Amino acid sequence: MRKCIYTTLIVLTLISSCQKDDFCVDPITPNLVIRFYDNANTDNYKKVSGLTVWAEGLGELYTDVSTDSIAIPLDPAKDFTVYNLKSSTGEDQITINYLRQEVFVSRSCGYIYNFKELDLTNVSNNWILNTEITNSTVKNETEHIKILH
Amino acid sequence: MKQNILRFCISIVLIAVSLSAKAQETETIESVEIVESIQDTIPRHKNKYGLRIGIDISKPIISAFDDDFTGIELVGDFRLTKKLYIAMEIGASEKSGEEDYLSYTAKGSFAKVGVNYNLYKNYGGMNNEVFVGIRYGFSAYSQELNEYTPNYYGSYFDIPTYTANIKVDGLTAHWAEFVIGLKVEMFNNFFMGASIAMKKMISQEEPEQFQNFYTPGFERVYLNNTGFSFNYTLSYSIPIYKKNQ
Repeated sequence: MRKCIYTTLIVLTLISSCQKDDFCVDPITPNLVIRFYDNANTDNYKKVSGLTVWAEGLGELYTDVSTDSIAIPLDPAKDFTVYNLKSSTGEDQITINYLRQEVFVSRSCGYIYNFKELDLTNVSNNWILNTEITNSTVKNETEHIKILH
Repeated sequence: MKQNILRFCISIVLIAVSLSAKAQETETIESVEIVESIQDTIPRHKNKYGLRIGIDISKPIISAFDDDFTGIELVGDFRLTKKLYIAMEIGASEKSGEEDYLSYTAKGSFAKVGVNYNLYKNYGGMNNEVFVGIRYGFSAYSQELNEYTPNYYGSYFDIPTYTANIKVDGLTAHWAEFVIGLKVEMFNNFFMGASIAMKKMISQEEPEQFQNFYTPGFERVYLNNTGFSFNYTLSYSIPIYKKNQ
């Protein structure tokens, strides 16, 4: 009987030392998705060649790529983020404004941000010809902003 | 007076002899115990009924070594029939925890009440238990979100950690437990025990802005509102009466 109790104690101690049960598998804070369109035919995607993207004061997120779509994070500490978009034909700057909304997901994922009331200001027009907000709420990673060039 | 003592001794010896004769048919160890019982004149074959009270020793030990936990749990049971015990646990605890993206503190008190059924067949004067039990558990507690860090892909931007200190008081939870455990009589009326409880939340009040991370008594709230806990008890049984059954 005493052997039995000691064995049980040891087994229980071993079991109780394994704690971690869940890992974050839910979607977390979404990136902003910008898609590039042809200004001559606004329904068609058009790749930007030699695209380099960086937030003001930070390192490059994309370096000299040829693409019609980028996904970029928004600054969690501010209500706006300034991005530089450089193509083979010029360099432009855009300011993305938004409202941060905290959303509780779970114990393991914690809080994420959704962004509301998306807006673009101070858009320079060296190679960017026009912009359009197609979805002003950033909840998932589908197109939010159109850039025509 | 002398005659009385003599008569008493003779009757004890007669009882012991008749019992040991019966016991020898099954197991020789028992007759040894009964011979011992002559010396302290307690007929060991009777079952003791009493109120057993004790403490979960693991909680003060964990409290001493873990800065994030303070707790106490008192346990008690009362023997109803040969195999059935009414059992109860009451306690209080405060637990702080840190997850990947947040930290929390839960604080409150709890009570559990139910029954234990002894599956262990005791011989002679043994009072050991291998039991299964069920409990209804109740807790009144607060849940506090201390800090959180928004969950982002990568680390392109510095992700700030915010101090929230959002405390929600007056929460309650109800749950059911299935318990398996054992109790061993180490010395006369002095027991050592261990048990494991598997739990399922029946209903719980949660903060609006977040969730229950820990409920006193229920302990960590796992996915699907399940939980489990252990206790290691030292207890003393206050004998009230003895019965043959």
